[in-house]
Amino acid sequence: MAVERGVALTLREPGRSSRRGQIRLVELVLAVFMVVAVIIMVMNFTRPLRSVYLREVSDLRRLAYNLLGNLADAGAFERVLEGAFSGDSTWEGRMRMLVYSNLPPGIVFSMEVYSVEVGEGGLPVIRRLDSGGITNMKPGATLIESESIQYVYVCTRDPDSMRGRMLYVVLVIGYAG
Amino acid sequence: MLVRRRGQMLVAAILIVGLIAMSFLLVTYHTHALFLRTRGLVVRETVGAVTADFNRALAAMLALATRSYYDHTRFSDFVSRFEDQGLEPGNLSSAGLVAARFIENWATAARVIFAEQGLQLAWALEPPRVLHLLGRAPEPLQNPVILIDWNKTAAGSYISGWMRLNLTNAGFYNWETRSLIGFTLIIDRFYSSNSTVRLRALVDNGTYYGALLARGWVEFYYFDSSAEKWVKAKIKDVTYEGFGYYRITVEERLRRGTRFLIVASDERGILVLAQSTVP
Repeated sequence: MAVERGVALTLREPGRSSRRGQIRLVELVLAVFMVVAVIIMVMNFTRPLRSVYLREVSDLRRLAYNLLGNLADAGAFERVLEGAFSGDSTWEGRMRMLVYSNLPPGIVFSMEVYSVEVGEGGLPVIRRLDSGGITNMKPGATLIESESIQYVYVCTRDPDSMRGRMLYVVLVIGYAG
Repeated sequence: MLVRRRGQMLVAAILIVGLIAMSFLLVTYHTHALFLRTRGLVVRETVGAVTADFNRALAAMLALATRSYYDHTRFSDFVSRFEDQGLEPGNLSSAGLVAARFIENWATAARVIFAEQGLQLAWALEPPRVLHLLGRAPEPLQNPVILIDWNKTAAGSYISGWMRLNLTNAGFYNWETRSLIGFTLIIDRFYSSNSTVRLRALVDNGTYYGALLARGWVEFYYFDSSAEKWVKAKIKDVTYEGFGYYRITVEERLRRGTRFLIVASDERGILVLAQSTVP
């Protein structure tokens, strides 16, 4: 009987411990699942640091491209920049006003305009037309978030003296600190 | 018991370390994805800007060819700037060569200007296919790239180009565009009762052109057989009917059989001459 009892005991004990082990495993999996679920939820409900500024950067580029695209569609470059080629120094002020009036409030900008000409050997030569006056930034102001875009533009509109001229425009827009 | 607890502590520690490592990886990935989404190049706007400028370069060269071909002296403010690059007055072959050189210079400048985005650019000029616009086979090309088919009831000026670009720094490859730039003028009917001509203006691949009055211009000439010369008529009224149709009324009363000529320019400076006869 003692032997039978002993056999019975040895048969029963591994069964209990393996069940306990399985339960622990299930608990473990459930615990991991809960922790991961909580982490994912927390990550989705919180924003990374300075995300507002990060999002605005792409928007600034789009804004700048759209602005230059609109000026191109309206034929504004030809009409304003005619002065740059004919020696009229007021063209920078007109361009500054045009850009300023087409940007949302609170945005600061700085624009550089270059003429692309054919140099010796047929290579393009880039010549700056403005003298740094196409901006609404105060001297010494710093930008806390800004983007610069490049734009190439072949003049096609009136007047005839502007047709076929190639321009290179650099526009920096952002938020002043 | 002690050994078992130690094992549990070990498992718990490994779990916590694993979770921290996993969280760190997720946060890093999330931040990187956000960075790419927000700080990355704006591909659509860049490609749009380059493609639009390729079309403008084609349009400028077609305007140059048509203006030089029509009246080099009258449009000298524009065309004379290209004389030192080989443009000969009224010569379409030289205009084609100047156009090819201009667009190559434009492409070189664009590669330099958009170097930050890794712009790679290939282009070619192609013979324009305009059967659908003119409703007939066009005149054979006088040069490989610029088609000027004037002095007919349906007339047009065209240039066609192909461009492929990559923005390697944005992982954007094989953007391809085919551009047909042109200006088509079709004389629809002449009403002798009130000296009015009805015509249709189309730009590029058949888009209705509704800005002929606001941004372009139109002139009306008739052939004075007694003086043996073309005379400019005085336009009394121009009306836009929509879908590219215009009615132009002139002050002069034109006799049956009189040839008349309509010269029009779109806002890009592309000229076209359509000719017909008073029925």
